[in-house]
Formats: sequence, C-alpha cells, structure tokens
Amino acid sequence: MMAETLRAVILDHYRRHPGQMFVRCLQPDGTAVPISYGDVVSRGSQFASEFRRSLAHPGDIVVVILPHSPDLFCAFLGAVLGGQVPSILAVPSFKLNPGHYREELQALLERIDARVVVTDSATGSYLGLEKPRLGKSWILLADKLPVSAAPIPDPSIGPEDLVLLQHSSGSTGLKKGVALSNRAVLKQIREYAPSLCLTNEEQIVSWLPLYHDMGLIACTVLPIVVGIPVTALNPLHWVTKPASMLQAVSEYRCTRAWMPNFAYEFLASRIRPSQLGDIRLDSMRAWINCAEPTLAGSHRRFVEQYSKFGVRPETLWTCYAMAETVFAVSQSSEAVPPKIEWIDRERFQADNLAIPVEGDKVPSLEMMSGGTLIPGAKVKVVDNEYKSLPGRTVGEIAIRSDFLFSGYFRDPSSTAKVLRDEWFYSGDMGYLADDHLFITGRKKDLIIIAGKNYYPQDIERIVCSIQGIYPGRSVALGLDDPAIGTQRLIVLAEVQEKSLVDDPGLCAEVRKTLAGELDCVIDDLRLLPHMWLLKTSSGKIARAPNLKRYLESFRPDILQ
Amino acid sequence: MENTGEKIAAFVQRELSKDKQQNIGEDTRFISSGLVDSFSLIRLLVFIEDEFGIVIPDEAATAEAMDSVALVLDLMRRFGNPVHDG
Repeated sequence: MMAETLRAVILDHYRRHPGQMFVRCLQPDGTAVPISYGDVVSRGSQFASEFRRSLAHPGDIVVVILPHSPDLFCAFLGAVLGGQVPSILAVPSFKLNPGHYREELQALLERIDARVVVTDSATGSYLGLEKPRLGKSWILLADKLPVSAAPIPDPSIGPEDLVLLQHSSGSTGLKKGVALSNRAVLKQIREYAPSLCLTNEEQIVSWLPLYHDMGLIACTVLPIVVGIPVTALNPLHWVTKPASMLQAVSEYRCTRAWMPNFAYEFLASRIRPSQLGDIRLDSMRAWINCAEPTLAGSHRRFVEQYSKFGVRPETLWTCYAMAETVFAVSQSSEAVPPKIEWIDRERFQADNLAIPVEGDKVPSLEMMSGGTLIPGAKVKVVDNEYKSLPGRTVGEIAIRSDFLFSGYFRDPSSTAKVLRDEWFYSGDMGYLADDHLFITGRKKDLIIIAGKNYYPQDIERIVCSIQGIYPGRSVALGLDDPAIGTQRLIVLAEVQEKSLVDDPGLCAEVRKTLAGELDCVIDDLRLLPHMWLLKTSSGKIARAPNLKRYLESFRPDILQ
Repeated sequence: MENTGEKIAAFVQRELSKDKQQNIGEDTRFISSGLVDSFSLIRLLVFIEDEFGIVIPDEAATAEAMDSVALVLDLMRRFGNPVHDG
C-alpha cells in the first residue's frame, strides 16, 4: 500500500535504505555535505524532540527561519516526522530593518499561533531575539540544539492532516499561509511525476529558496516522494556566482532543474565562457521554466549560449504551477513540447482573443504555453461573472483537482474569495488552445521580479508612509522587460511640496525604506508634482492608465 | 590617475546604480540603500577581475560583504595584490 503521509514516505526510505542520499547540500566554498535519509531521521528526530519539549503537539505550527544548511532540511522534515506543521520563512536579508522585520514576524506568529520558531544564533542575534520567546512562540536555536540521539517520534497523523504551510507572497506581516494536507501533497506529486518522464537515474539541481513553492515542493518534497536525490546550492551565493549551478550540473551529472524565467536570461548573459572551462551540461534532461511568465526568447538565448556545452533545445520545458494546487497544473516535456505561437496583438488587447497569425504580417505577440494539463487537473477559463469561455478566449484561469489546498490558514475570508464550488480562481489570466494552457498575465496586479512576488499595494503603503510623499498618492507598477526576462519595478509617487519633485534626498529615502522593509530595488522612481497621477471615475488611482502615462511621458531608457 | 576606490565607485554609479543622481562615495551602502540589486553584483565581480586581476572567491562574494566601495576594497586587499588607494 502506498504511504499516505509524507512522514510515512520518509520513514519508508529510512527503513529500506538509510544510507541513500536525500540531498547534497553544497556550501559556498564548493564543499558538499551529503545528507542521507538516516541523517534526516536522526537529526530530524532531535528537532522533533525539542519541538515536543516546547509543547508543540501534532498539528501545531513550527516556523523555520534558517540559512541554506543541512539543518534547514532537517528542521523542516523533523517537524514533518513529529506531526507538526512546518512553515519556512526567508532568513531576513541584511538589507531589512531588523526591528521592523521582528515586529512583522511577531504579528505573523500570533496570527498563525506558531508554537516554535527555529532559527540560528546569527539570525536570532541580528533580529534581537534575546528572550526565549517572541510573543507566545518559543525560539529554538538550531546550532545550540543537543546532538544526542532522540527517539523517532510517533505522532498519530493521517492523510487529511496538514503537512506544511506555504507562505510565499506579501510582506511578512500580511503573508497568507497556503495550508496543504498530506493527501493533497502526495496526490499532486504522484499525478505530476509521470509528466516529468523520470528515469532510474535522476538528480535534481536547485538554487531555489525553500520558502518558495518551487524550491520546497519541486526540489525538496517531490524528490523525497519519488526517491531521487537533489544537489542544492545556496540561493544567496548563486546570485553572485550563477556559474556554480552549471558547474554542479557538470560535476554531479544532474538531470533536472526548475527555474523562473529570469534565470535563463541571467545565466545566458552574466556568465563568461572562461568561467565554465570544459563543463558538460548534456546530462540535463529538463530545464523547467516556471513561477513567472515564460518567454520563448529567453529559451532561445539560453540554448544559443549553452548548446556548445550540451544543452539541447528539446530539454527546455515549461510548467504552470502555484502553491494553492500544491505545485503543477500543466507541464510540457520532450514528447509534448511547449507550444509557441504568434497571436494578433490588436485582437488580444481589444477583444481578449488569441488569434494565431504569422509573426511578420501584423503586429503580434509571441506566446509560449505552459504545456498540457497534468492528470487530475481540470481547468476552465472564465469571465468576470465566472462563466466559462471558449478556447482561445482570454479569461481568468480556474482549477479543480484532488490536490487543492485546504484554504488559507486561519483566513476564511481570503479563502472564500478564491474557492467557489470546489474551483480555485487563480487570479491568473490565460487561454486554452489545442490542449495547451497559455498564461497571459494577472487579473489582479501582482509584480513578479526574478520569480519573487510583490503586491503593489504593499509597496504603495510603504512609500506613502514616508514624510514628504503625498498620502495615498503613489503607484507601484511592474513593467515587462523581455531583455532581462522578468519585470522592472516602477514607482511613481506624488510629493507634498513642489520643491520635492525628484528630490535626491527623498528619492534615497524611498529606495532605502523599500529595501529595508521589502528587500526590493526600484528600477525607476519618479517623485512627481501633486495631481500628476491619473484617477478613475471612482476616485481610485488605477495602475494601468498610470503605466501608460508613465511610458508616454518618460519613454524610460531602462527599456532600451 | 583615478585610484581604485574611485574607479569602483564610478563603475557602480555608471553601470549598476538605479539612480544616476545619487553620488556613490566610499562608504555609500549601495545595496542596502536600494540603489543596486544583488543580481548586478556579478558585473562588479567581473569588473574587479578584469580591471584589477583580483578574483574574489565564492564564499566571500556575498551582497553584505560588497555593500560599499570601502567593503569591496577590504575584500580586494584580502584576496588580491595590495590595493593602492591613492
């Protein structure tokens, strides 16, 4: 009988082959720390024992804030073994204001009633966590944890019990927790895995952070469920040394990677061949583009740069995924390549229709599909009244499946907004054509930069709180930039006095505040006179008309 | 002749900074102040390698350790030939 909980899957590996590698944790200096299932259960049980000592019972939330390390994996899986519900949050960047982060963290911990926060001494000290508790949550320091053997916990948990909480978008205090049951997670992975055409010799390579669903589900939980090892790099070091991922592929003969679209451009443009020497990338069977709009041009540039190292175009796949469906909804593969087509730009913009055209005949847009639906996923495209639309008509994508989330944790009103009659309304816009699912954008404004989601209202709230900015009069805009394969962040804000228009001191203050609170960098910031921003008839500052006005007024050179 | 720190500051301001109006001084925290994103740091590493022949090893090349010209100069002193500041 197949295991019904993730805990049972881990213990099954442990009993059958305790020495089998689960993850190879690559350190920035290039050393590799292999972690076996034996290590996971042994160290994980130590964590679970400490969670129990902090009175975390099965079903209680354990928040994990650890840097890339063996303990990050073991603390997360220790909670799974103990029946607690782990949720991984990003380690605060040095850019973030520690006091502000701590306040937001405390608000989140209280809202989700987290029993325990696992972190390390360095992070604890940075955040000023000097007491044993933050609010009602106990603080555990992983590096101070005893290393003595602990019994494997034996909680009573079943398939419907939650296995993890995924917090991925929004500022820390406002994050929504996507609650996932054991059943949903295992069902998704077992339905998804065949679409990946896995062989007996696979190894995933990942630089993705584990607080993101792609890093956590595709590159941590999926490998456990299907029993393939992972080579995991530190996301923060990958940013300054992207070649390290390609070197890892070559050294360990990795076969699969999931990456957001910007990474294809980043790898294609920022690495010099001299850094790569005689590496070989021909072991890779799939580079899976996911988590932000996928661009065929990014794939072409990636292949152009790396074909000489063995990258074949047919290994560039696409996927459409979200935390609320655990992970994948659609997937392309070598057998079913992503469909690439040119559609009539005017019909798309005016009539919401995706009419194929020959690219050089009329103004057109190049679209690349996210592949075909995985088994168990049903999709419909709907209009604003939730009525189904025919093929090639753009509308909101709704999904129904056996692997939907259990709701946003302790947030029934947010859940009710997106779950109706067993359909999840994703907020993504797209169309279906020839069995392929194409994603065209977002219904609600969401800015995705390098795979990381930002809510414009978070940015606007912070900007408007700065002295000198006119309250309620700023907009944050995401501008697609195919040259870098992701969006640029534009912030337009009205100032309270004419003398502050484009004032360098105030500009610096806005940039520093946003970096300190959201860890984001503004590509173009404009401090504007009062009444510059356009309002709708209902008196709201709408983003689309202001993006248009910005483009017409400034013709920004960031796009050239 | 421009000294090393000035060359680095000029490169950051000209090539990496999102706000060309803001002057980059030796102690300007250009990453934590939101002027330069982490993804641009690889260009700074390449510049240092090309211009000064200094390779900063992976484990040392973090965004935090490269947050100002002064910090970058420290890294270059640690991993390269002596840097002449004047």
